[in-house]
Amino acid sequence: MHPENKNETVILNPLRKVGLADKLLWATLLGLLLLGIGVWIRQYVLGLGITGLNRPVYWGVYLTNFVFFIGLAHSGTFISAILRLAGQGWRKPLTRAAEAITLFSLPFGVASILVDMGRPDRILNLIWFGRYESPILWDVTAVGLYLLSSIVFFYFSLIPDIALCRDRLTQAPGWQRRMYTILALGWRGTPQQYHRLERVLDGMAIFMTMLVVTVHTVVSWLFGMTLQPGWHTALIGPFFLLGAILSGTAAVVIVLAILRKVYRFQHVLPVSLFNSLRKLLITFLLGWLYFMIAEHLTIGYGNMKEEMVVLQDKFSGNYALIFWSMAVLVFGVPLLIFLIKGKDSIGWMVLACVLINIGMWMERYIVIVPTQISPRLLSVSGQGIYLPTMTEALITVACFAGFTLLYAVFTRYFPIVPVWETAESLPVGHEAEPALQTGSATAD
Amino acid sequence: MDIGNLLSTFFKSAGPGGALATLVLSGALLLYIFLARWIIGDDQQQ
Repeated sequence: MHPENKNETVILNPLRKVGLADKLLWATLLGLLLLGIGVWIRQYVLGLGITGLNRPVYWGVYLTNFVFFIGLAHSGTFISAILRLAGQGWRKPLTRAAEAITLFSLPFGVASILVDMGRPDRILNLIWFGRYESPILWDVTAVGLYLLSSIVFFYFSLIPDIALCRDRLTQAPGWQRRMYTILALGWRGTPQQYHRLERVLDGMAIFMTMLVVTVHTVVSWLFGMTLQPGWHTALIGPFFLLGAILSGTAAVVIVLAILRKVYRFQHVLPVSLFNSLRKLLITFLLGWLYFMIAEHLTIGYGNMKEEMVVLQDKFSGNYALIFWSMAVLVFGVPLLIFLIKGKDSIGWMVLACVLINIGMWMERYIVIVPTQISPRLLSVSGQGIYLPTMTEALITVACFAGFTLLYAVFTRYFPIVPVWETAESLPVGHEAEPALQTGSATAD
Repeated sequence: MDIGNLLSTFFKSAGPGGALATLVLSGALLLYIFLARWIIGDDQQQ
């Protein structure tokens, strides 16, 4: 038994054929990913000396990537779990696209830590000799549990649609049909199965909401628990969290716009969805500005020597250009776009969201590097120096290429818009919520 | 028993933290496997 969804054919269309353009794109992305892996192997052999990292700057672009990718990963949980708990039915067509961002960005966040280690084989020391005195072990526990739970949350909600693929895509190659058969776990789509699935997803949504708050707070505590200027503040947790949700939601808009254009999902992903996301993004932007001002005003007003070295470096020193560009890219321009041009205009929305994500990457960089340049024990500006090298640049490109590759391949083998969650009706005995229908009914 | 001392030893000793992290992750994995089996379930037996 499968749900009735008038958009089923449109949603399954991208799965029917992998074209030449797809293969070219995948090959290019794979090439970039392999290049990055090659550069990393070279770094492993020659040592971290070939990067810009040095004493006292031990964390640079790699840690920036770590925080950025973990932040991106918050989009899926936010859209799926938090909006699910809030009963926001409009989110349903975009849940899987958002969850996929979570799923495919987390591995690159974790990988960034390994890349940052001169001896990645020592990662197992965290298990053999782990102690909870160290925030690093808090991070390993939280991020590990988040990765596992995200995979499971994503997979559970995918099962009915995998079963649909198993039964509908009979012309697919043998290996693809076998894959669907195995992954569907024998799903038959009975009302009882749907009922149990909804119960589990509701329960997991509560747990995932707690996890999402925990994970990015703990990530921020990697910095906040050290007595370093610019980091040792109680605000760093919520500030990081809000930044993560902001960049994650902006990433969802970009991905949705691409999917809508490439797969002709105009009726499945209506403009009204983007307008709803626009309102959320305006809220997050204002929240982010609040934390930004609160954080810097508190530090500046205190006028402590070590703190002021870092603050002045950001406001008027070596990092002023990055800092103020970041403020314009994350807040200034996007807010103007959202308020003046964003409504009903997907192109403008995408532009704003791209700017937000570029700005958020810079924000992560500006949080990490100036403090490392002038740590507490070297409280004179300019004692440290950090300039990323081509090694870091290529590995960063590889991370983004790998993320895009996984996403692009996934959308060609699995429905990126949930068929069962956007269905007009589910099997008898388990009716769809009325809100389920909003996504497919409202077309631009 | 000195609970405070026990907790302090747990946080300060090398090893127990790693064991707990492993336990948390493997416990979650087992729970999810159980949930998957329950969702798919055999409707005849329900």
